[in-house]
Order: sequence, then C-alpha cells, then structure tokens
Amino acid sequence: MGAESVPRREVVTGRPRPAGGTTTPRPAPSPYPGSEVLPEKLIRRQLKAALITTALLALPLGLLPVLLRILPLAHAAPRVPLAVWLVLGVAPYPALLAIGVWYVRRAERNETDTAAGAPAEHP
Amino acid sequence: MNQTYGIVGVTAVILATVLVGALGLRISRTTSDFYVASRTVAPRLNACAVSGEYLSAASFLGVAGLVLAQGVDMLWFPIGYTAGFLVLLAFVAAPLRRSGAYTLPDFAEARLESRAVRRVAGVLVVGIGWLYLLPQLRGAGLTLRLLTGAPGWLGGLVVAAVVTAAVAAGGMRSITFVQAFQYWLKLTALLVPVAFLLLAWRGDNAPAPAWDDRPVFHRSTEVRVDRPLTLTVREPVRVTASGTVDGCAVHGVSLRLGEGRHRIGAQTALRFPAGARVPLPDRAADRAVPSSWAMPLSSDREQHGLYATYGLILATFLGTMGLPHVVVRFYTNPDGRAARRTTVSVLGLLGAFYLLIPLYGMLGRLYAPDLLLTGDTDAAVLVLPQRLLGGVGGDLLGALVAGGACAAFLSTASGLTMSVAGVLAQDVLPTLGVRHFRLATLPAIAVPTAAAAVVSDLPVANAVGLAFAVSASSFAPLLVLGIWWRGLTPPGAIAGLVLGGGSALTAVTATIAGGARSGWPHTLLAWPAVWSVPLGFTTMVLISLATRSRVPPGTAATMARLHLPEPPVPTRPGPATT
Repeated sequence: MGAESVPRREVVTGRPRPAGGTTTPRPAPSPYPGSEVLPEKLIRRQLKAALITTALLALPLGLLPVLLRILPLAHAAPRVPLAVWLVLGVAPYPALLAIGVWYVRRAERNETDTAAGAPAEHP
Repeated sequence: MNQTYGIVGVTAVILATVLVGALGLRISRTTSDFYVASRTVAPRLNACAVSGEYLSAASFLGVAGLVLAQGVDMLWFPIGYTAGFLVLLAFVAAPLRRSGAYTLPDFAEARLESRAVRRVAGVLVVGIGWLYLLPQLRGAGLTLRLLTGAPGWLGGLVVAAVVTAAVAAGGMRSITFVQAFQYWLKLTALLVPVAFLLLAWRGDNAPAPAWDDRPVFHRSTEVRVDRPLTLTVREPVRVTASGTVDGCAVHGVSLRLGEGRHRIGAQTALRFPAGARVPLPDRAADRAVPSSWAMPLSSDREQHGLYATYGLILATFLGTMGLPHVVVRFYTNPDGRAARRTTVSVLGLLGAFYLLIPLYGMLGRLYAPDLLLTGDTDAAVLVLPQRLLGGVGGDLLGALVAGGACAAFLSTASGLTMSVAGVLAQDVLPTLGVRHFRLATLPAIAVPTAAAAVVSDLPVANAVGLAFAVSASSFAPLLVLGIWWRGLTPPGAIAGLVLGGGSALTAVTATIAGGARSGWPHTLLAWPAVWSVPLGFTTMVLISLATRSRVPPGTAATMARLHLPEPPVPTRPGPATT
C-alpha cells in the first residue's frame, strides 16, 4: 500500500532530502549577523528563567513528602484528611500551569529584547 | 459488566482510529508529511495531540488502581507526569524544536557531530520505547479480558495489529488528528461517568473510605475468581460460595471461612457480606499474584517510603523530556515559540484530566475493594460504573469508560511504535525511505507484544515509572547539558548515556525479572532514579571535562541556533491547522 503503488500526480511540498536519507538537520542560516556574541547573554537570561522555574517547582513539591511525613495529619489512618487529598490531588495542577505561563512570558520577552537589540540586564 | 456494550464501545474507538488514520493516508504524500506532518501543526491542536498521546493506560487505568490499593501517596504519579512537562518547557521545548531534530538520536548527532553518540542514543530510545509499550499492551489485555473474557495476550495482539495498521498507513499527519481526538475522548470518558458516580455516592450518604491496611466491603459484594488463588483470612467470615473452596466443590452454599489460608479454585464466585474485611491474596504462597509489584511504594513503606517517593519525583520530573514519543511531537511545531505554547497548553490539558483520577481511586476503594483480592486493581475505573449505577445506565457509562481506556493504550502505543520504528528504520536497518519505515513498524511492536505475553502481572503505572527512570538518567542529562553547556563532548555524552541509562536499565530489568524481592536492595533497584540520575549527570560532566579537546568544532554555531528565535518567515503557510 502507499505512495509507490499509486501512480497519480505527486505533490511535492517537502524540501528535497540529501541522498543519505537521514534527517540530520541542516544548519540554518544565521538569523542575525554577528550572532556569535549575541546568544551568550540570551542564553544566560534564558537559563536564569529556567532555573527560577525549576526552583518554583522543586521547592514546594520537593519539601512536600517530608512535610507530609513530619506533620501528624497524614498518619491519621484510616481516615486521610481532606486537606491531604487537596494538596496532592488538586493544588499542584493550577500551580504548574501558572508557573508555565510565567515562564513562557519571560522567555518570549527575553527573545524579543535580544531581537530588538535592547540588552536590558534585568527585566 | 455487560459485554455487548463494552465491545461496542471498544470497537467504535478502534474503527474511529483506523478511519481517521485512513483519511490521513490520503493527504499524507511526502516524507515530510509522513514523519512530521510537514511541521505545520498549530499549538492548540498539537497540545491536544501531545496530551492524547501522553495519557496512556498508566494514567487512565493505573493511577486510580494504585490509589485504590495504596491511598493518597500514589497521587505523586500524576503530579510527576504533569510536572515533567514543566521541566521540559523550561529547559528543552524551544531549543529542541530549533535544533531541527526529529528524534533524540538526531539531536545527539546534530549537537555533538558524532555518529557514535547517535547510535547509543538510538539503542536507548528503542529500550525506553519497548519498556513503555509493555504496560500499554498489558492494559489492553486487561481491558479486553474484562470486556470479553478473552485471554490477556489476545488483547495485546489486537491492539498491536491495529497500531501497526494505523502507523504504517498514515504516519504522523493522520496520527495528529487521531491523538487530538483521543484526548477529548479520554477526558469525556472519565468526566461524564464521574458525575453520575458522585451522584450515586451522595445518594449512598457519601461514605468516606478507610485507608488502613485492610479495607472492608462497603456493600455485599460478589467476587469472581478467574485464576486459582490463596487467600489469608484474618477474621472469620461467612460467605456464599459457588465453585471450589479448599478443594471441595460447592454450589451456592453459605460457608464459614475461618482464620488462616484458604485455597480458592478457578471460576469460583464468593459473595461477601457488607462490613466484612477484604481477605488479601497470600503473596508467599501464590506466584500468580503480583508480589512486590502490587505494592510499589508501600512494601517496606515504613523504612523506604520517602526514598521511593523521591525516586518517583526525580524519574517523572526529568524523564518526560526523554520519552521518544513526546519529543517527536515537538518537531511538528512550526517554530520554537509554538513549541513553548504547545507545552503550556499541555500543562492545562493534563491537569484537567488528572483532577478526576483521585475520585476514581476513592470510589474504587469504597465500591470495588475486591479488586485487591483478585489483584486486578488496574480495572477499578472500568468496573465502577457497573458497580455503582448498574442497569443500562451503568452499562452505557461502562462502555464509554472502556472506549476511553482503549483510546489510552491505542494512542500511546501508536506514538511509541512510531518513534521506535523511526529509529529502527533510520539507524538500525538500511534506509529505503517510507516503505522501509513501514517494515520497521513490525519489529517495533512485535517485541513488546511478545514480552507482554511473557511478563504478566505488573501494574501499568509502575512499569511506566521504570521507563521514566531510564529516560531521566540518560536523555535528561544529554538534553539539559547539550542545550545549556558548551563543554559537552561526544565521549562525555556516550559515557553518561551508557553509565546513567545503562545502570537504570539494568536495575529496571532486574526488578521486572524479580531479582531482589524485599529490603533495601529491592527499593534501590525498583526506584533507581535517585542514584542513576546524578550518576548520569556527573559522568557526562566529568568525562567531558577530561576530554576538553574533543568539544565539537561547530558548538558555538549550534548553540546559537538552539537559543536564537527563528527569523520571521515572510509567507506563513496559512492558519496552519491541517
């Protein structure tokens, strides 16, 4: 089945591939002249945004297992308090989404600043 | 469960999948179409497709089953499954798209300019893909066994056949639509029944489940035992039994099960009265019943529970970025920004889905505790509508849930097959173009299907956790260091992949094969991420520092390409929804 058994018109929308057949990506033309200097600053700012995101994620969630173990309420078997269910079952998801939205805004602003050539040190 | 309704539900989902896949075949013409849908998938559609692909049998069936069995701690699974996308968003999403890599081996080669790294990455992709396919096929077997009574391996085989047909026929473009559709199907299949289930629960005066060691039957419940098993009864209980109990054939008689062990024959029905404690399967006496598998976090919970929780957190947070079927979908985004926006939407879509899971776990604990007895806790989501509602309504909702479960393992299995086949076609078998890709589909799914028939009895959510651990210890270091650190060298990357990924893979294989059954050795092997992730990162950094002269010459240019936004395209190809 498939393309080789169908002798109808070929519509070629993809770019021709090298004979090797692998999808090894071609280096894109450098979008900005002199970009050897530019990314340095951008990379540092993007890395900072990524690390802040990780901290926002890892601090509360990373401490939670210890907290739940220390605090007596998780041990109140057979009844697990509603608060524990809410903390583990509901609260993380809006928080994750909010952190994600914050990161995307920040990352896009970093890129816009770089493209506009306005290397503001701190946003 | 009424079989007719369930079979209709599953058949409808399979037909819809093949149909949409066939439609994709008609528009899928070029190699680019086939592999990456010509990179024109809009963020929202792509986010639905990513979520549809990602929400596997582990999410749909497994987590609720684990919550039923072990309570609120198991909610770390869905938290980790979602948070993994946030880490992916922050460190990987846009640069990975800008790298132009279609698969992880592509990324490895583009960044490090080394065929050797590419080959090692290829082997790991196949390993992780197969490890992840295993529980999907098992979930398929379980669902079809409950619906039709067919043996477990047959369900896996049916799904394997459907997936092979769909993937080989349509490739990526058709799969985008199929998976976006399947996200909404899965959400509906949990959302609609849960509304009715909660109403019924309220009508039952909203009892709260007990989460101590031994749950009780909230209602008088009939338990059907398919396979022979041995029960440990702690409190004498009077049951109505038909079948074989302790070697004696009985037919609907009331008998008293005294304290101690009881052998229950295959095809036996036991009716327990309300308020009786659920007798648990005797693990030592019965090999057919999952031993440590059924209790991933709580075996040795007092000593190692915290370690296991952190192992799970580390594996899922970092493992998501290295899952082969997730990475492929990012390449179908038009550019890096779209890749980020896709990921944020995914966070929302996954969150909406996972909000429903604890409800099923809680209701399952109340109304289906007998699943603990038979060991089929993964079936909690499937049996609840019939248990709680009954009648035609229960059957219809049961069919909806079964269809959703079917969508869950179909979508993930096709995505995984797609990526494993892609690697096999490009890196293992000689290249012959699209036709060859179709050939590679066969080994991509045949191996895990065979393995699933051999390795039975492993809870799906837990097995998926093992795939995450391997991914987190191999590809997470490669991606994070490759994108953010100029000093990464090919020897460093290979050493990290082999040592981090290899050790995690070994630990996981030992766990599946049943190497260590208890104590610290078991915990360390079952939750390898805590030690294997640092091992992978450290090895990669140290060996790279030691081989500083081998930093690829094009590193600066590649890094610039990864991080700089794409130049604006003068003519964008339409609203980009096709």
